[in-house]
Amino acid sequence: MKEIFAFLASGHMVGVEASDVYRVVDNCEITPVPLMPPFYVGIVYYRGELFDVLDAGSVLYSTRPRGFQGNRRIVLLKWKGRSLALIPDAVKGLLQYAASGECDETIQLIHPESIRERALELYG
Amino acid sequence: MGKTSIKNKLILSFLTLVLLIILVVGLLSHLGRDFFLIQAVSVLTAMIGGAVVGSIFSNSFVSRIRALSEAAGEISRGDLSKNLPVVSDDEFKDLEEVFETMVGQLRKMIYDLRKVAGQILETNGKLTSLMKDVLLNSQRIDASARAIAESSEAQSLIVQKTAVRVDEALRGMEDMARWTETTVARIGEAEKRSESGEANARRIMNHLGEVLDRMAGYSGPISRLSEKVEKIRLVIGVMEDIAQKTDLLALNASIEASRAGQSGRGFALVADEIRHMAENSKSSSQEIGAIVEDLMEDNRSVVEALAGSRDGISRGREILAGIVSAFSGMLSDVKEIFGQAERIEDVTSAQMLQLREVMKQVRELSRLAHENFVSTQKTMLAAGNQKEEAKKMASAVSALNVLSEKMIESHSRFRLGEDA
Repeated sequence: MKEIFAFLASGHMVGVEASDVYRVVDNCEITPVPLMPPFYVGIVYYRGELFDVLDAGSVLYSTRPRGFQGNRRIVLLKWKGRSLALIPDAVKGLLQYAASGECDETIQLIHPESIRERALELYG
Repeated sequence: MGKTSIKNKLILSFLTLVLLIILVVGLLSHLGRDFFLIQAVSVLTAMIGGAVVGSIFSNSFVSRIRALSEAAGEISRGDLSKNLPVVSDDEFKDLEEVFETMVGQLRKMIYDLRKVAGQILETNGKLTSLMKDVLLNSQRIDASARAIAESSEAQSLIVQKTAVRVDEALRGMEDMARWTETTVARIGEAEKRSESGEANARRIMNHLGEVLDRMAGYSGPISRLSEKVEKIRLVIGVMEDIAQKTDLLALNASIEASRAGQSGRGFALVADEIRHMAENSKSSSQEIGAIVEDLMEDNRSVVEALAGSRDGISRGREILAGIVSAFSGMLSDVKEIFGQAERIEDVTSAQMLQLREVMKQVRELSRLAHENFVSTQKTMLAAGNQKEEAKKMASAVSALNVLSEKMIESHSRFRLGEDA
C-alpha cells in the first residue's frame, strides 16, 4: 500500500505520491513575477528555499487561473533535488492505494516531474 | 211832428169833403140855383171829392202795403239788407217800425245763427279732430288694455307659478329644517364621539409611551447579548483558526510520517487522529459559527425589529399625537360646526317663517293679479265699447258737421247788409 496526497484541480481529483510532498502551508506571501504566463502565480519563500508557485488547474487542465487568495493552501513538492509549489482548489489529504499501481478511477495519479514538464511545455 | 192817425186823417178828409159840399151847396144856394140842381151838384161834388180823397188815401195805403209786401218778398228771398222808408207818422209807421224791428231782429238772429253755425262748424272741426284723437286714444287704450290684459294674465300665471315655486321652496325649507335638526343632533353625537375619540387617543398615546419605555428597557440586554455573541464569534474564529492550523499541522505530520515510512506509522496514526479531531473541531466550530451567525442574525433582526418598533412606535406616537391634535381640532371644529348648524337651524326657521309670510303675500298677490286680470278684461271691454261709442260719436259729429255746413249754406242765402 502506498500513500498519495490528493487534491482538487479544476474539478478533477489529482494525486501525487506523499513522499514527493514537502509541506502544505497557508497564509504564505506569494511574490508575483512579471512577464510570466497566467498559470505561473509567482514565487514563495519557505524556510530558506524558493518555490515556483503554479495554479494546479491551469497547468494540468489549461483552465483559466482562479486567482490566488491568501487563505488557500499551497502544496510544496520536492523530488530529486527539484522543487515546485501548487495551488490546488482544495486539499483532500493522504489516501491509501494499492502497491500494484491500481488506483481509484476518480483520482488521477501524477508525478511532480510531469507537472514541471507540462509547465515548461506551456511556457514554450 | 206829432203822430197823425189814419182815423184822424179819415175824419179830417170827411170833414173837408162835408165842408166842400156845404161850400158848394152854399155857393149854389147863394146863386139861387135850383134845389135839385144844388142837390145834384152836391152829390156830384161829394162823389168826386170822395173819389179823390179815397183815391189819395187808397194810393197812400196801397203803396205802403206794397212796399211792405215787397220787403216781405225780399226777406222771403233772404235779402234782409234793405230798410223800409218811413213816409208818415201814422199806424203804418208803427207797422213799418215793427216790421223793421222784426227784420232787424231776424237779421240779428240770422247773423247770430250764422255766427253760431260757424262756431259750431269750427267746434265740429275741433270736435272731429278731438274725436279722431279720442278714437285713436281709444284704440291705444284698447291696445294697451289688451296688452295689460295679456300681461296681467301672464302676471297671474307667473304669480301662480311663483306661488307653486314658493310652496315647493317652503316644503324644501321644511325638509331642510328637519335635516338641519337631524344634522345638529348628529353633530352633537359626533361631538361626543370626538371627545371620546380624543380621550381614547390620549390613553393610547400614554400606553404607547409606556410600551416604548419598556422596549427601550429591552434593547439594553439585547444589545449586551449582541456584544457577547460578537465575542463568541471572535472566539469561534480563533477556534477555527486553531483547528485549521491543527489540521494543517496534522496533515504535514501525516506527510512526514508517511515519508518516515514504517517507523512513522504510529506517528501517522496520531497525526491522522489529530487531523480528524481538528476537522471535527473545525466542523464543530463551523456549526457553532453557523449557530452564532443565526443567533447574530436573529439578534440583528430583533434589534432591527426593536429599532423598527421603536421607530414605528415613535412614528405611531407622532401619528397619535397628530390624531389627538386632529381630534382636538376636529372637536373644536365640530363644536364650531355645531354652533353654526344651530345658527343655520335658527336662520332656516326664520327663513321658513319669512317664506310663509312671502307665501301669504304671494297668495295675496295672486288674488290681486286675478282681480287685476278681471279688471283689465273689464277695462278692455269698456275700451272696446268706448271705441265703438267714439266711432258713433264721430259719425254723429260728422252728421252734425254736415248739418252745420247745410245751416251755413242756408244762412249764406241771406243778405244781411253791411251793418251785419
